[in-house]
Amino acid sequence: MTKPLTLEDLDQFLQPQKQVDGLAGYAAAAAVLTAFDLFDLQPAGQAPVAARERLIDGLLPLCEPFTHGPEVGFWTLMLPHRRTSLRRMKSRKKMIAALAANPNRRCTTSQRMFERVLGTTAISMETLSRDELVALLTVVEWTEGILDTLPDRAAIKRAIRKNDLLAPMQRLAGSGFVGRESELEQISKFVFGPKPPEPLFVFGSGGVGKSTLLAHFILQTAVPRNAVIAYIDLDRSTVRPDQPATLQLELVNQVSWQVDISSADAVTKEITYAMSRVEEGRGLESVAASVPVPRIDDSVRRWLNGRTLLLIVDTMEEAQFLGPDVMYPLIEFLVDMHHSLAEVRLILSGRTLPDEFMQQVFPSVTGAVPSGPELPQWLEQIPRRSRPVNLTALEIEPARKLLQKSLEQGGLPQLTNAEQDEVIRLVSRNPMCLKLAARLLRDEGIEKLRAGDSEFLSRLKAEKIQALLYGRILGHIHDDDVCKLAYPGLVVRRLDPDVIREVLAGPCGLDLTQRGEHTIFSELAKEVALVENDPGDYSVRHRADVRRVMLEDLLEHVAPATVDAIDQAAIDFYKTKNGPISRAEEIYHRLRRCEEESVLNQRWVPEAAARLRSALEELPPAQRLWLAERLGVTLDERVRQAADQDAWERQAARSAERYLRSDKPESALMILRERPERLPRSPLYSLEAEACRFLKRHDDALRVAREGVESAVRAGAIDSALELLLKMVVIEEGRENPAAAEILLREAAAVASHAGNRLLQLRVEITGLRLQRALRPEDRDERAALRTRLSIQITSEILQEMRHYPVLLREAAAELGKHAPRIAAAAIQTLGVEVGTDSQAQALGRAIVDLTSSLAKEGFEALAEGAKHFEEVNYDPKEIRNWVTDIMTSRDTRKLGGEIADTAEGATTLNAFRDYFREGVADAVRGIGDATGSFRGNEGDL
Amino acid sequence: MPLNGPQTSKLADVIGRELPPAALDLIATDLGVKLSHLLPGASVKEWAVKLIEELQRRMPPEDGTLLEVLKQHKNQTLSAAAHKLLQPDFLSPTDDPHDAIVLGGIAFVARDQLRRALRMFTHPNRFTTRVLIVRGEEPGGKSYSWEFLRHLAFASVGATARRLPLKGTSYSPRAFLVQVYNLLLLPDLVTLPTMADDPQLMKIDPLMNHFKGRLDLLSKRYWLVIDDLNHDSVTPEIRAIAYAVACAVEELKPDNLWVVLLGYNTPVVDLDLNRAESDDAVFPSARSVAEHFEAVARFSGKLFPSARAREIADVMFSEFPKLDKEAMSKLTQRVEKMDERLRVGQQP
Repeated sequence: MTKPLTLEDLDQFLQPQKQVDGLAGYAAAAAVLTAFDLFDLQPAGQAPVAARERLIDGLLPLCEPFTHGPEVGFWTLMLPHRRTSLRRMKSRKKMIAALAANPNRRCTTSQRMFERVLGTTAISMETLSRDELVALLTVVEWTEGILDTLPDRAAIKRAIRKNDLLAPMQRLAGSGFVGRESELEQISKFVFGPKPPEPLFVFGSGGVGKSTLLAHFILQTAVPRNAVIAYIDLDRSTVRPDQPATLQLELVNQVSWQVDISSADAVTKEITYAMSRVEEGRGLESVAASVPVPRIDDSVRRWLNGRTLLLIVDTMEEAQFLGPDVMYPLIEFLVDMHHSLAEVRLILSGRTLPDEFMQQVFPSVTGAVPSGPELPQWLEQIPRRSRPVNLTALEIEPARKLLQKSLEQGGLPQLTNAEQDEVIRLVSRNPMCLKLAARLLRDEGIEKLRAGDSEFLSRLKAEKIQALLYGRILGHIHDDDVCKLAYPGLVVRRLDPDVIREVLAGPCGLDLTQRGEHTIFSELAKEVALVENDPGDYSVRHRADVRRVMLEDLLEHVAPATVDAIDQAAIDFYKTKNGPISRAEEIYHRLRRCEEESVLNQRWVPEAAARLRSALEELPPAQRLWLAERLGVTLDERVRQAADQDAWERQAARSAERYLRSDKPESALMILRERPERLPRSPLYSLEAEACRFLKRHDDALRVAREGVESAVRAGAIDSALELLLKMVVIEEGRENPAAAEILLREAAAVASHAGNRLLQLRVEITGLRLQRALRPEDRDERAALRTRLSIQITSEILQEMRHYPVLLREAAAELGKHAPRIAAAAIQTLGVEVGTDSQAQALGRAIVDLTSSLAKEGFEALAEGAKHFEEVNYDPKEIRNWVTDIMTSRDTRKLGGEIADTAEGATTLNAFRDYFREGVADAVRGIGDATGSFRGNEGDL
Repeated sequence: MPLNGPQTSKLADVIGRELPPAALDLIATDLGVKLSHLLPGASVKEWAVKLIEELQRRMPPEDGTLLEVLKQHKNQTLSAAAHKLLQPDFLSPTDDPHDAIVLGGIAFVARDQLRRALRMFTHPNRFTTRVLIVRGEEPGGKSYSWEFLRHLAFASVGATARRLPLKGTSYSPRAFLVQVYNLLLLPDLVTLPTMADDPQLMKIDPLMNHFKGRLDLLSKRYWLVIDDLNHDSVTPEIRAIAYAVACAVEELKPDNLWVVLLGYNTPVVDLDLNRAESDDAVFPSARSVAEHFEAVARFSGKLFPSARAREIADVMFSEFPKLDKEAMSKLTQRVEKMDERLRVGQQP
């Protein structure tokens, strides 16, 4: 009998690198150092000094270089070799002794933390910076299992995440917060008192301190009282107000580490896949197999285990900017979360109190939200516990305190009370203005205030300090130029020496022989508080907030002809230049001059959109509408009604699509029926038919779609006609009338032969397969031939394209997945797994059981366990759904997709997957998927 | 590049044997390093290490330039050593570089999904993704993916892979982008916008606009590999800008740039990026290691029974009660040594 192989045998065979004699002392020394220079390293203990060449042969192969940061060019011992050496030393005492060999060691954060771990004093994580916490984690990795009483790794990770959450708030509220006692008290009662049925809204103008107030509350009250915090800023790129599911993702991401659950992956997987299932133009089929925003209440409730969750959604004006069709569903989603989870306290924050919030939260309070002095009285209609917090300027005493604090931070001496009051009188009690005033005092010196310098005071005195500060910069350049450039100059948004010379110099009457454009420009570019670097080139951009207030007064100071001359000069300047920056500026000035749409359309490039976003609110209605369309923004009804038919249709289409995506067919229909007329290629036929379909008004849907087909055919819009015909097919299928569906499909097939869209043609054929199965199940050979042809037709490029059309992909997987597993795999990888109805959940359960029974692969343990469970519970759909939503991870889903891709074509193990996809398609076509069914009315509703 | 400890040691050894001091001094001087000032009286081998250290201190590291110089050297031993480090040969059971299992001396075990996903990079069309996300919290060879990416980029489409490691860097978002510009040799770094220190004004949009505006200026094909995104030293701001870089590339699909995010475990909210390829790096199993040994042994032409391969893999795994980073590192070393033996027909 052969002797079993041992690790020693193996190492003998592998001949591990022989230890170069006499280097143990060096390895020990290196093991207690974060970074070392190979040429300076001294051995630990009494070890003899070795030749450097021996270090190169023996020690260097155990090391890796630092490739960045201050230690770049130094070496560090690789983890296993470090741990081997530390294991040999075993004790703190010996490690401390090894440190002594290199007294001039580099003092990195990791080195300091290592030496703290070697010390006897307990380490308080609360006192450590983020860098120190990260270093501590590294050191624990070195010494875990070797030294005792080490800090807990999970606790360090939690401390890092906490730091990440709170650090921006500390920077915001850490040192400049004063007053606001009554607001803080109201928020505290709202969060920690009996739960009010309504969420709280904090509103106030920019710079008034909303985010600072909330940050202060979180730091001083909510965190010490052990609340779980989720702070969602709609201004972040990872959050999309028009997709509430992205807020869920952010919420789960922030909450999961605070409540100590091992992984929230199963929940995030459900959310991300739900987002991927939406196909534009096929609203009902997109959402039929799952809800547009999955419910995560049960999971969150379980995680919180009774703790309060303070959910703050800040910068609500970002959602308002996009239009009511974004705002309304978002508010509804958030309010629903506030209601359905007893532990949640929801606070919203934005510049104004939105009508959408008031209508949904306080429907009994009538009328639009007033502005001006009547607002406080109007708010008193609302019970105190959840009355929106109207944040206004500071009271006088807090204003003094804030000014004094800001001056102290700038290293300035105390002002007398009279001096403080003088500054406050000049700049108002707005916190941001006070901070800017402190900055001005720091820059110019307090003596000027004390000397009563009239020029200084006149600059400080303006009601709008930002505007004055703008003038101050230019004033440093040349007094005469100030008046000329400060006011008309900000007609342009972007400045560089060429713009000063070519656009502004003439209309502003600048004499550039005295001070050249480069001098003026370079002075301007230094003032980062007032101008921002333009990303494109060596230019700067006026800060939007400064410019906005200045523009309001522009025509009081400047002749209209001058303004017009600047606009025209800017157009002439930019129109000869290439690139999105120039196009955006050219279009901006054309919009200001209310030029013809045809001209604007001709000059438009999509890349300019991002640079024109901030211009929207300063334009007149017609121009705003034109730009809104290109920015993906919907405007209010008044502006929409003033538009011509083409512009109105585009606005209405966007709005209706958004409402349908949010399961609001009634709202979509209201928008679509604002006007009965339709242009020949109108997208509104399809949307109106879809809205009717959502509402189960099938006859209406068919009638509207037919009108659309006729209109499209008359206009030669073959693809539009085909799309509408296919919609009609699905409507007939949905009401279980396959014969009528097939007649319509024949009509579609005739049109398809003239269509240019290959995916629509493919859809006709896939739909044909599905109908044939329903109508003539015995025609197997014909279907087999068609399947073979389609499988060949769907090249890998087409399959990639189909991943952008999830509904079509699901349909293709249902018909072709068994014979082309790559299609089924792509469907799983794009759509995830869907368990919208009981029958679909059961079909999935069977499919997983069939697949895993033929698998003995490693890495499939989770799926195999799931399969075992499904059999044990006799395919109980509720159990399968729970497993999918709570246990199955995104990795399991990807593995499942990968395994299907590797399965042989036509394998019987794919039968159950085919059935699963067919269940999904049937649900989608019939519109009967999700557990709540909230978006589907009954036949005859409305 | 940069060269690691074992590579530096080996290269220094070759240089020490093959070059006289004056010749190395001349090469170093051409590269802007005065060895005789930095390390007077040292041996050629020591100078070689010092030279590599100095070149690695540059951004981007320039030890690759030294290898290029040595590759052109008339001394064939030196030239071959440099060539091997620059473009490691690979072993692939199918000769297809996507299926490579040994890259130079590095073992690359399993990772079927990664190999499959990368076919989208090497066979692009207008619908294929430009982004690959390699996920995984636990040790699973995420950073080892870099070696495969470097190999495949060159061997399949002649692209240059550039790695941006983030562990322990403490970059600000702007500094991160500066590194990207340096690695990709993007122009106009001097005009890259600054960022405000006010948390409410710290927007990365201007940085990203600048980046997007320069993507068309890439003159050669790059795979940008952003590493260590799961490391605790990487701040949320850096994760956000790495994500934004990936989104920008997926959105604009420039002719010459593909992006890999290694260790990005945050959920993806961008729909286009959601369709990007994903791979999950997991600790290799004993079974996959055994299959790897069998495949490597085939190159020697000698039969290597499956049962024996599995026995060896099981013994290797028996040392590790916990499959952590240390285990991964030790296992990798053993597997690579075993590969060396098996390739020349030696079997235990």
